[in-house]
Amino acid sequence: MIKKFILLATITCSLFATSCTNDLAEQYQGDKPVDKGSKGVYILSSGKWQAGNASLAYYDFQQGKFASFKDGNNLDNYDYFFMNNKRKLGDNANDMQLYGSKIYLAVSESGTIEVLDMNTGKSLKQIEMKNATGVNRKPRRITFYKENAYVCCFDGSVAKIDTTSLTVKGYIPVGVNPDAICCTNNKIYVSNSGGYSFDETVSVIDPTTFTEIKKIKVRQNPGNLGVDDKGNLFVVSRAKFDKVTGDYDYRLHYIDTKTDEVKQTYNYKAYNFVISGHKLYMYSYKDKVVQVMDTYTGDLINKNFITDGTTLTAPYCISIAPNSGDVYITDALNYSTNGQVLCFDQSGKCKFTINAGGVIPSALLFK
Amino acid sequence: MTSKQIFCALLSVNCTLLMVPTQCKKHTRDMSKGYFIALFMFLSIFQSGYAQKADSIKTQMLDEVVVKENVKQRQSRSTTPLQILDGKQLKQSGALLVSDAVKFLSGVNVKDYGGIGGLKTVSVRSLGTNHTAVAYDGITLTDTQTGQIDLGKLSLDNVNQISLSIGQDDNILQPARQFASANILNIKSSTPTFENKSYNGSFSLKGGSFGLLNPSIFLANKWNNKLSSSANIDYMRADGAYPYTQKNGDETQRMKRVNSDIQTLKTELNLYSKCNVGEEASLKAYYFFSERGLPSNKLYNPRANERLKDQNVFIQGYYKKEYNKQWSILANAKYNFSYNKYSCPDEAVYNAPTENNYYQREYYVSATAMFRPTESLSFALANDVFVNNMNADLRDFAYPTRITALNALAGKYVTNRFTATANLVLTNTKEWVKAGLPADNQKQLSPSASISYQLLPNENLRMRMLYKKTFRLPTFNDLYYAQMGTRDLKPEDIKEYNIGLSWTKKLDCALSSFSISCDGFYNEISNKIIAVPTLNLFIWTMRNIGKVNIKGLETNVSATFKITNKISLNSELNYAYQQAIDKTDKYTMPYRMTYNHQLPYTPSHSGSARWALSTPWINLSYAIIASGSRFSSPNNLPEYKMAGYTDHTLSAWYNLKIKNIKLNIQGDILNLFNNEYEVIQNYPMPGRQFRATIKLFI
Repeated sequence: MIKKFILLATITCSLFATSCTNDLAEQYQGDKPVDKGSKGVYILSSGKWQAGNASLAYYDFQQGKFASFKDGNNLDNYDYFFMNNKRKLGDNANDMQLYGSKIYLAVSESGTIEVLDMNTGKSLKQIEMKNATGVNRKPRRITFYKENAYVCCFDGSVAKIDTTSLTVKGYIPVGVNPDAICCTNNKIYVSNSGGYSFDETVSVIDPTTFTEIKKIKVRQNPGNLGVDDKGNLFVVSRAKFDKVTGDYDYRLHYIDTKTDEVKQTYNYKAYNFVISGHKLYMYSYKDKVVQVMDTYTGDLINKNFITDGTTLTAPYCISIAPNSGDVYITDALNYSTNGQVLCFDQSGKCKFTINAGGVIPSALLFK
Repeated sequence: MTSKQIFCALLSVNCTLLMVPTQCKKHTRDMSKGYFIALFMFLSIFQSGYAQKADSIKTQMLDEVVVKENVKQRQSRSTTPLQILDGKQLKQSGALLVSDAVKFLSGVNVKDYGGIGGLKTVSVRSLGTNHTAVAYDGITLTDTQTGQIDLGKLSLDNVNQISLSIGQDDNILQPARQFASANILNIKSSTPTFENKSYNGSFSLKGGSFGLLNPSIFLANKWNNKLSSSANIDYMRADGAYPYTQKNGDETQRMKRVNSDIQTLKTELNLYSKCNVGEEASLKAYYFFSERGLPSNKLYNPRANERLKDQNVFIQGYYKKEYNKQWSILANAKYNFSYNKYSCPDEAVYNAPTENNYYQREYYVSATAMFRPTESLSFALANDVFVNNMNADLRDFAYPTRITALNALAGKYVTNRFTATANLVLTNTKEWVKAGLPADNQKQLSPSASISYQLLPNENLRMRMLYKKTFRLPTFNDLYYAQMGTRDLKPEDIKEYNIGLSWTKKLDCALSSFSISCDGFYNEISNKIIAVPTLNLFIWTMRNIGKVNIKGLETNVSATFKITNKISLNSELNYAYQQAIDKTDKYTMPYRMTYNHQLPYTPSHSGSARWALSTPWINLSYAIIASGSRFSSPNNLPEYKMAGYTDHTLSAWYNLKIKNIKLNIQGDILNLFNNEYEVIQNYPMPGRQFRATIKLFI
């Protein structure tokens, strides 16, 4: 207990030191941040609500520091997007995906998709995502299928964007407040969360005709989607937030993509999750306990993935580094200060923690 | 009924209120019955008070000296820091709204979202908006939903005085509510004065930049020696489309504020009665309407379409009587109804345009009895009961009703050189909801004590000290709002300490008078109610985890120079230093990054200055508001630092008389140097503005 206290105190002190000097570049806890299979990691931060401070940071594992520049006040600035484009990213960046050599960023409240050249960091195009009357569609998550990007928008639509011309080919309606999108078995799946009105469906889209071919009824408030290495689809439904338990009432559904029907429903607390191979890493909203499920069997392989006592404050995004298999979790802390990125090895030990370089780290991408 | 009987009756009411809530958990029905009995008793007293009026006239005497105490004397004698802006000073400040005027008070931090339409709330000495009670003509304005009063809604037309008391006013003959908040902002409307005629009236027209138009009419009539009335109607509109510069890296873009328009209509009817010597009553009916846009500033998405509509009706009345030198009473009652509508016409593929309606009602009664056994000693017992309820067309709304009983016992001791006041407020609440669980009932005792002492017998140099412990109840939003509300919230606690010196002097030289005051203060906030975001940015939850320590210093200097017999210069300077440090337990996640950091939007240094030159031909005034740098985030990183700013106002006016008609013409230039600044990040303030006012008196 005392040890934990001292550890916490040192972390706090060092964090305090960090925030005072604003010298993120050399700051980390644990081992020197290295990832065996990646050159670096892009960290997208949503920014505070209406504060216009969405940002993108790039941490270079080889150099062991953030890409940075000196701003007008001679302060270190870690916004990689600003560094290369001399303008801000916008309001509330929600998702970041790679296709070919282009990085796609969904900036929700600004109503834009920024397409970056991965090599230069320069924005090739800022795609406007507004409807005919000029209302922001709020682009939320991105997936790809055969030279096209599919973006689910919080206004209830999915956009199709040509990845060569970078123009919007069209929109189709799906459901209320789509939350996530993914692609498997030559189909696009969108979870319609329903916002406050509680939709309970997953839309199935045929990308060749760009039409909705089915609505799979799941359960109230469907959220994140994921696909395992056999192409099986998983979706979480969170129902309503229960004020008494202080948590959601989750179910994890396994959807057979051949029949597009729910095949199995598990009682796991998968508030948010990511699948790597056949391992599904999930965490719950209230306890913030990371658990691992085998997608083939539906069994829990690991009831408490984190083994070294590291605690999470406000986990926001979970991601697996493609080559090393390390588990990265972003922590939004209090949602108004810079967040953190924690890296865990397969044994559940925290290898290192770095500053996220922005407020509310919402997505990670490995180079 | 004699006055002693009244006091006893009041005491029994008090006891009923005291006793009942202790049993309330088991006997809810008995408890509400108890309140009704109490209410009934309390109302019947006043009826008997009226009936017995004739008996007490003989013994009636009025202490004119106390009543006629002027502003400067009142300020210097006050045991608590008291800042007053009178009608003339309000004119000199060039202010249009109450929120513009309070920026000149030291220690006041106005959260200004820019323009005429933008929301404006006030935080005094960094305690937060909910700790400042705002009273209009003696009765507090309330909003149980948010706990915040938007001072931008209140125009200064027909306002005669604004005063801010830290703690409470020294006058102990007042409703219990006036004792029950950390500080109180009193707004007083002008009461009509009749010199040699039986009527009185004025018409004013104001116009200015960004489509401002503000006509108003005031009429007063004296029906007889005992009864007079007044009525006023005030309309204001502005489109608020002011230009500003948006910087985005290397690009600067000249933008125009959109959706910042406002329309308001305010009407008021007043009935004043001076029934007999030492007996007065008044009745006020008030209606307010406003419709405005909510500006937003999202990068690459300039569209802003959210609208807010407010309607507020209240009827309030008071009755005050001095039975004799020892006994006086004050009774207040109010009914308040307010309606807010939030709407956003933006249509999504599946979502209909948003519209939310909120309704609030308040029923309020208050009775205070004051007893003065000796010339210098007085006691008062104040009992307030009020019922608040709220209704909204939200999914799963709780429909809360809250009954609050406040009992305040106050004592005051005054001699020429020494004043001491002390009071104890007991708060009892009970809450009901139609859906879900109600919040816990609260029972709290809040003491306060303050003294003022004249240090030298022949010099008006006084020292004052204040201690006050108080709290604020969680608002209906804190408790019940959608997924965000938390039902088991405790009240937010405050401790205030103040020590200060004030010195006023009249001289026989060019410097004809001056006053200096300096106060050091220390405030502690614990159980601070903080919104903590949960899963994503859309859902937050309220928690009692905040802790803040505030150290500060306030200095006010004013001086009047008599240049010639007819020309004088009045100068006022205010400065405040505030160190408002977040002391939320650093091991209570997730606030470790903000531990020991300054609260957001709280400048360490702030101040204001005002110079007014009066000549027989023209009056000129020049006013400055200044703020040092501050942080937009609770995490004081350099990137969140916002630069300091100054805002200058130049005003000129003169009075002329054509036959029987008095005319007053005023011109103002606001933000004279066109400084571009933001009070709240991303909400730019307007640049240079012009304003002209013509006012006609009959």
